[in-house]
Amino acid sequence: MIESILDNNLITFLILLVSVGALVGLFIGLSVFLGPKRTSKVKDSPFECGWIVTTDAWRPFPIKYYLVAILFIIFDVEVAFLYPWAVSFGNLGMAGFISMMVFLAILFVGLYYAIKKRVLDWR
Amino acid sequence: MLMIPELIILVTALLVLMAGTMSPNSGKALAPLSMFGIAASFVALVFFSPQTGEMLGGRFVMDPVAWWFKILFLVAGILTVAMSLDMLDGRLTKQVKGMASGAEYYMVLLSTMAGMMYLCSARDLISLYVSLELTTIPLFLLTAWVRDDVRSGEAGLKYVIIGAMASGIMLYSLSLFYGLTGSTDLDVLRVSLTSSPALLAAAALLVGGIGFKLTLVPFHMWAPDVYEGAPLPITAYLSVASKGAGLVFLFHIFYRVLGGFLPDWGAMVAILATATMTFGNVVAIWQKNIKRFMAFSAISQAGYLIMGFLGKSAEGVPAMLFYLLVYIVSNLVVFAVIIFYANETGREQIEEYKGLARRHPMLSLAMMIGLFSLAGIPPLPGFVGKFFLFSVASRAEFHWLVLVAAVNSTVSLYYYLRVVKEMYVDPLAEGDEKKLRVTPVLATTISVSAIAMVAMGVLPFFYEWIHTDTIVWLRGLGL
Repeated sequence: MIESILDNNLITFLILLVSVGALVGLFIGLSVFLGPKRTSKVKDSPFECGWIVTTDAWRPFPIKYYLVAILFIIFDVEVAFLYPWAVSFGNLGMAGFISMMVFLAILFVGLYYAIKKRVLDWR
Repeated sequence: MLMIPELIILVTALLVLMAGTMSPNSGKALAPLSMFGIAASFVALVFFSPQTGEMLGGRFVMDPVAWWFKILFLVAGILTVAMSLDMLDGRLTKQVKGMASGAEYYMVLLSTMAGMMYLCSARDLISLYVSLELTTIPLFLLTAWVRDDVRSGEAGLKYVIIGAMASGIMLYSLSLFYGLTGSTDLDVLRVSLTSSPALLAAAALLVGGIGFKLTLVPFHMWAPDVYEGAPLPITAYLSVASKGAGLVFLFHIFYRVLGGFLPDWGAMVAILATATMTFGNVVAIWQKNIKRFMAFSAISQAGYLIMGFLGKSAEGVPAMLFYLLVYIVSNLVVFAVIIFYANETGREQIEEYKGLARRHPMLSLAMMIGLFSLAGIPPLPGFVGKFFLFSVASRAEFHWLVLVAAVNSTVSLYYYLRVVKEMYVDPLAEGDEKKLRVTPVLATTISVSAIAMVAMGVLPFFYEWIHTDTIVWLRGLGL
């Protein structure tokens, strides 16, 4: 009987879940209740790679970062498509070539639009 | 090639985007370019696309119902472009501040049209879902298009949040369908689904998710605010096209997948229809803003539209298709006049329509016919459409629903007449004696669609067309 319950994947998973929760809760609880609490101004300030923090993190910054990041993602994904395509280029034949060209043409329209709208004009 | 109409729309979208950046004065050419694309797609669909066929291994299928839905979406799209043109080209007496440029607008509008057309042909849960998102996400953008208008931004934000929630609910339902059968193909689902509590949960969640798109009560809460905040042409488009998309989705699930398995969904549809039309009508009576008024009118019309899903007879689908066609044209006529009035004076309150008939008799006439068609007065097409839908309900033995719907039509006549009274009976306000000027594009749009609307009511063969095209195929589905 006990074996058949343990054979069940869900029970195993449940045991794992409970034991992980208990272990993590135990460690955090121990350090909260037993550990000493000494606070100071320096200790409470956010850590910034060893630099002295100058401003709050919630400040406006140029929207250009977003645009470049979005463009980067698009071309990153394009490369992720291009590599397997290039490797199996020999097997895909004309149909593979044409579909990739259509895909690239659509991306090209996007790039053309971005350049025309001066997204890459860093000023 | 079955996909040509969709591809034409997508290529036009890319061309418009490129053309918009070519030169600073290309703005005026964009709307004609988009309209040309839509017209080309229409021609390709009507003359060169067969009404049945499949490609990509049955993932993209054409059938008569899909064919007719695509026609309806193209009609709605071309009318919307025609109505947006003045606003984007700045041919307004009352300027709208913060309109972004036109190229992106048309590109986004064309993408949502492509999404809706793919939705008609998708035969797989995943492609259905992706097409529905392609329909919805561009609509979020279009709703928030007026940059300097707080209401527009708010409407966009509300639409995104509620739309995301609706998508989540729907995805959960689709995942249940997949979990029950291990397949995402609609035809496989149809044969391998068996009745179980999980199936009921999946169907209920699906109706909830689609209810948001169709603005069925109690899933309608987003509609008034979004309709009020969105730019007027987009309100018009939302009120017809997004409903059409919801209907297509529901059609796929109800007729192609669940047709044989949920014997009781008739009762659920009847209750939803009752709640939707009653609530929409009762609240519409109290509205002061014409956009909110049209939003509640659109909610109540959705109640009539889903009556086509009652019963297991194949007659429901042509009745629904015909009423959707009638509703698209009538609603867009009314919206075109609202757009004309807002373009010239910037007014949106119903009481500000005072004496419009003396300032522009022809357009007031068009608006009156449109409103009467929505209310369902013979010989206008709204009456014919409602007649067929009510007879579907009566054949499915929902006689009480026919009674409720008939009473609701009468109630709706009261509030549509309120607008007509403002236009025709009430005297002109002080300082309004000047005649209004109407741009040629809007004048053409309104007159052509108003004439088409009257023709649909008077000439009987529009319904005949839809019926003969679809009925054989629908019977073949086993309905």
